[in-house]
Amino acid sequence: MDLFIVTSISMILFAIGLYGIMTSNIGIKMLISIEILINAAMLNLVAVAINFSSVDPLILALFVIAIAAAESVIGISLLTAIYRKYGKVSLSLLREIRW
Amino acid sequence: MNKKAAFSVTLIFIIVFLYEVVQITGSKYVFTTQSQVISQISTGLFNSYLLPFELISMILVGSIIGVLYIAGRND
Repeated sequence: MDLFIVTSISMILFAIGLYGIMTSNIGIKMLISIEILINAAMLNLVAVAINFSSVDPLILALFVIAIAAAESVIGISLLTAIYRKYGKVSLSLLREIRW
Repeated sequence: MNKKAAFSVTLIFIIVFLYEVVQITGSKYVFTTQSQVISQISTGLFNSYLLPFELISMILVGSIIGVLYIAGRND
């Protein structure tokens, strides 16, 4: 496989995540879009790392996975708190913490 | 939710990224699989990247405690 193909797949994934995070109003959908964005960036990183036969970006990818897990957990907990307060998960309810 | 604006922004992103990718790679590189990558990863993870490894564990513990504080309380 060429680097161009893998980078194109990464680009398509990033575009899907970007469109999803810009058009959604639901919290779970936004979290899934953020995960797609992170996975696209990580796929690009790993592709370039394998292309230049370097190992350090692969270790960085492991750290990115851990950070993404922590971020997703925090997002889910925030959505749980929102659900307990309002009874549904819609980010348009949070007008107080918007700027 | 303005879907047209989001679609146009995504389209602009795709155009810019595709231009950059075509310009950078030029489709001349070929994947070269390296043997013993796993052992190199583990060696790097426990030698030169030991401090970020431990910091990641601290971050995970902190996130667990924060999540239990946020989602576990009963108002």
